Amino acid sequence: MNILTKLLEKNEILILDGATGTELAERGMPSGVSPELWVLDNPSSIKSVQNDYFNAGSDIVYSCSFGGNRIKLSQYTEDLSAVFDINRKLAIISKENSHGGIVFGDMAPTGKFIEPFGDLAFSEAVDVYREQAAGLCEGGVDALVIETMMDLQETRAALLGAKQAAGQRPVVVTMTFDADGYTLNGTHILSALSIIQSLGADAFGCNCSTGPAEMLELIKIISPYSRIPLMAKPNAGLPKLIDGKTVFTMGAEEFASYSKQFIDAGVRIIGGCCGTTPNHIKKVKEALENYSPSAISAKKSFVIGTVKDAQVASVDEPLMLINTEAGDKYRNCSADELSASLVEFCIHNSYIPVIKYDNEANLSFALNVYPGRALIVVENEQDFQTVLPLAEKFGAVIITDKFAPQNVSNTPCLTDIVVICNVTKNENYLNAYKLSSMGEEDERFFAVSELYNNEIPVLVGDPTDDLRDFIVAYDALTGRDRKLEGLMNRLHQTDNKQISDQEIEERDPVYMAVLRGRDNVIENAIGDSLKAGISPGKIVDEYLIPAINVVGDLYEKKEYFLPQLIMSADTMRKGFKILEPLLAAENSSKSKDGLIVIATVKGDIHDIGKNIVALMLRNYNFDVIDLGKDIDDKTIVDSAIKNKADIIALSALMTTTMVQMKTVVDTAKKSGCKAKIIIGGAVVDQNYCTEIGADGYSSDAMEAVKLAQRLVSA
Amino acid sequence: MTREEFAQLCLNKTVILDGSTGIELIRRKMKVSGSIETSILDSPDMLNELQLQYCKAGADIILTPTLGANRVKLQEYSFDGSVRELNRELASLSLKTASSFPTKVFGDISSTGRFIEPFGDLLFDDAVEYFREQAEGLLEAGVNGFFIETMIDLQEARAALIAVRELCDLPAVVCLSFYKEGYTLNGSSPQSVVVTLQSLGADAVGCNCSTGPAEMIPIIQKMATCTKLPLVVKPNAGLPSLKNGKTVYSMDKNEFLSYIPNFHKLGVSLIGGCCGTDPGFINDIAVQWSNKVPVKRESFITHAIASNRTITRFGAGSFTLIGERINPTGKKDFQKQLREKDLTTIEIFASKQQEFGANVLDVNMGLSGIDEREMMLKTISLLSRISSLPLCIDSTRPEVIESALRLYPGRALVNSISGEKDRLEITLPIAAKYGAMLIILPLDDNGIPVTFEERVLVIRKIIDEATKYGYTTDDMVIDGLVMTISSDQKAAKTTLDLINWCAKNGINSVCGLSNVSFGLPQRDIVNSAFLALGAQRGLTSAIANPSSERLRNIISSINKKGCRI
Repeated sequence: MNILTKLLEKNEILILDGATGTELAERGMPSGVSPELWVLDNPSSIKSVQNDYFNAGSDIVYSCSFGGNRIKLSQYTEDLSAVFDINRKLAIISKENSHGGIVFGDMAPTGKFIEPFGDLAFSEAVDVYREQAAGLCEGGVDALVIETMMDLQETRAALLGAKQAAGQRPVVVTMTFDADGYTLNGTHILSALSIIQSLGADAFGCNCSTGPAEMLELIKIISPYSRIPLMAKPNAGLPKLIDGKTVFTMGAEEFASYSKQFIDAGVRIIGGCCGTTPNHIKKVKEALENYSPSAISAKKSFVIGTVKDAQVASVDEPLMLINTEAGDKYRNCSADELSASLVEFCIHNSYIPVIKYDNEANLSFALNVYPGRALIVVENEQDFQTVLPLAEKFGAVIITDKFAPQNVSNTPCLTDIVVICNVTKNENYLNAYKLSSMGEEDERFFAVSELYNNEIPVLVGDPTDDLRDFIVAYDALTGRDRKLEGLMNRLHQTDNKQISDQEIEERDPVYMAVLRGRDNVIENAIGDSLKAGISPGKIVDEYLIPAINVVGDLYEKKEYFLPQLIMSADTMRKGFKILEPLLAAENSSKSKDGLIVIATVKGDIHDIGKNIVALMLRNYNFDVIDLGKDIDDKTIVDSAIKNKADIIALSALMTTTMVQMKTVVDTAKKSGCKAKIIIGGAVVDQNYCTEIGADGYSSDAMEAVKLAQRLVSA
Repeated sequence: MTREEFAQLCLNKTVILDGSTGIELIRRKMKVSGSIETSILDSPDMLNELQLQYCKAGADIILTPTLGANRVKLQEYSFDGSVRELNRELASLSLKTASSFPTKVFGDISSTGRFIEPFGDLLFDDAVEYFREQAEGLLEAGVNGFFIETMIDLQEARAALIAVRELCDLPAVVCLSFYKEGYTLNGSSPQSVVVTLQSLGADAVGCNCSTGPAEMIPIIQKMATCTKLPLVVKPNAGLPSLKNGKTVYSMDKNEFLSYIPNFHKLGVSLIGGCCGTDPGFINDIAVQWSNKVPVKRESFITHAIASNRTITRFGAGSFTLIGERINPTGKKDFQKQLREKDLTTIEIFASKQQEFGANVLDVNMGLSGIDEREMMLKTISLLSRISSLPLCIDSTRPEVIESALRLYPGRALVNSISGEKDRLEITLPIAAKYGAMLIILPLDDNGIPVTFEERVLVIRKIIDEATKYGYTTDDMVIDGLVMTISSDQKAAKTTLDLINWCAKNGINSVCGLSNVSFGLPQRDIVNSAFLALGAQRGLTSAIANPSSERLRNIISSINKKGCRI
């Protein structure tokens, strides 16, 4: 048990420090110097800063060694043999001053890119970090922190290097991600988590780049899959440019208001980055006083990270497909060949390379360099025993084929072992089915459903295209693909036609939001349009309505399907809700052209079309009372009479419910209701309208508007 | 006697019936002018003597001498009196004779000799009326039950049974005549006969006449697999031959008797003789078998529906596919044809779906601008003639369902009974009268329940209500009610949980597959995938389009694994 686990057990929540650079600047540090070197000459400054943080409530402060690696220091000094000693001294300064408080030795990016993107060799990067780590440890730090990392491979080098020098000390890692969850070089946070935690980090999280609101969302992404404590060190909000200076303006109170949510999401080590002060930390401490985190249940799953995105194997996620046959091409390679091809592979594909084990030395070499979690296929117990320590060291996943391993102690953060088990479920390991054991090709369409029924997360094999079609359907039907994304992406091709972004002319953001069904951006898009001086009426006429009409066309042509129709309609409705009060203000002087009572008839729950019609009628200056769906004739007619409606509009989508339209017509007649009755819906037509004695039929929303206008002016 | 008493009787002993009446009287040289029935009125003593002998021989039940006493047959002899009166008089004779014995008297109703719609020109309700006429007279006389026999055709047997059931609640036995190949004249199998008549309220079923006992063994064997009802045999004394210009039945009673152990082994409860048999036969049968308790039949098919020709079972080892295509929704050309009363498309749909492996055909005629009832009846008539597949009557209108079930020469599946008030109060009793199998829809007047637990509550309510009409869950297929996942991602899971519940409770289930993929691309793939998942959880049938190759592939895989309730 290391100091971190001890601390967390005792305190449950650990509080880090806040920004240091600004604090040092306030204490006289000039711009343009190396903070590390300056602090060595002005140790009282950093002591003062760190005292402020300890007093504010920090459990842990970082040593002032952010840029203390050899490569960064080479910008400021030529004597690189002193690097070890510089770090040692910086560590001593902080540790002596801490009076029992915890000091983390701080390490950060070198500023250079690692091969093959840059010219820094991976092994060299590892050495650089080992050197710095050794110095910090010699100087007495309690643990090491690698922070503000923006490149996955560099983070790996730092972690491997730091661990070489750390001894028993924990090594924790925070990386920096944009609000979408990607590093500068395009690695997704879930991917990074899986790689870094399986490589042996003692804690993982984010720092910098985002404020607490955005960072909280990122934490929520990784929380269900994290096996180590989570860290968060956000900036004081998003930066603003004021008088040519970058300023972080989120105050301490607001900053601290997110603290409890971070803890609820799974963070156990929390602090602040750019723009935060001892006051921010003080408020965080106050907010978390006596706050006890509840345990987060981890999912039985594993995540395979690549240099880009992660793939998750879980019974709640789409089926993970692993093609172990592809691993054959890595057999009998030399170490160089293997590592080169793996790195090459991961750059150009988002697939995961699968290695069939055959040579310990080659494997070790390759896994060292490979920037991701590798999958290693092992076919017997003996090979398994050889591969296991390598997999543990480099965080690889082992798949056993043809046997199940005996006696593996499952310590957290260690190897994920997947056992291929077509017949009997193996409770000790993660399970996979092998496609080639599932009968002949034409029997597999049904056989795969058995896999879903038994809640198996992984399928080993290379399914045919036809079978893959079934797999996305199974994912959607079993709730593993909650948004039907896989299904829509894969099956959404009619006559090999695909709607690509290029085909749709790029238009105004409000139009595009409705077209794409992005209800989370419509508010901002409308806000921007209004700010740009476009009137609410114009936004409706030129963006919302044309967009929904195009959506309707695409649906008719079977290029859009129901999920997309629903999303677009919801987006339009949301947009309209924002604009409605503004439009009312515009039109308050205008009297309405008429009043329409609209409803979906009794027994029928379809209302998407009806809602769009109601929207359009409102926009075209009608007062619309929307009674909703599954409404009986009496309610409709009573409402029409009470409100002196000019028109009753009825919608039905089923052959069994359209008969209700006749009931409404009859009831209206009997009650002496004078409103004209119009009908719409996929099952009805002009013939039916005549048959039941209604006054009009329209085939879509625009036609409904025209029909209504005709009827009120008649 | 009550129906319960009759059932008990058939459990406790081998019930001895009588032998030939009319043919025997002729053999005894009774004077015949016109019909046998009217002739008997002129020779009541001969009848009395014969029937006395049967009673003494140990018959538990004798039949009234009214085999040909229906209006159609009597008109052949220019009878212009009251059919009802004639039957009453004849029955009274038998009742008088039997009064001093424990022997019961059952009213004999037999074939008109004419084919009934849709197989002939005699209207169904006319046939029912003719049988009712007879039955009224018999009832008036005081018969203890009814014996509908020597029916050449299942539709005719139905008409007679419905006539009796609409009149009274006495036991009704129904026997058909089968060719030695094992089918009725109109092509009905023993299984389809038994499944249909059982659900219509027969108290015992079997075969009589046409053949000797040997030929009846395989027929009874098939019947025994399909029903829990008591089985009846009343064979001729062998096959007839012409001797000196006369029809002679040459099997002697010893040979006749030698076949009875076969029937006993098969669990037959009622044994008698038909043409060529006499009180001597009955005496020997009674002596040897009267005190033998019928063998209990353990395994018999439940969960079956029938066309005129064959049966289709649910959850009996292979998946049951209900073809959905005979439904005008969304088919513009088909709608146009129906409005013109053109059934061409229906014929095509029926044969295509059967070709692609459908086991049942769903028939829906719900379309504005047509007389749904009329088109439903036309369709049923057509399909009964050209297709051997049982039908699923798909309608929301009780009057359509009523007419359809009345006419349909088989046992239909009704789509559907929900928990809505009018379905339970109006449609359910109608379905119960004709003993149709039910598709249960787990929704009620509050709408479609969202959770699986709520659906189970509705199902229980429907089952309770249906039980009052004599239904059990063997007569039900529960619709999983799958909604489209494009508007509710949990829709499939809810239905799969419900299907699993059905399987755990030993109830068949069905799903209208197409619903799950409404609004999605490549619907066929999604439907087929859903079928596979359903089958994994225990789904035993589906309403779908059989022309899908993917679907057929899945069904074939399901059948390899086996599909049992």
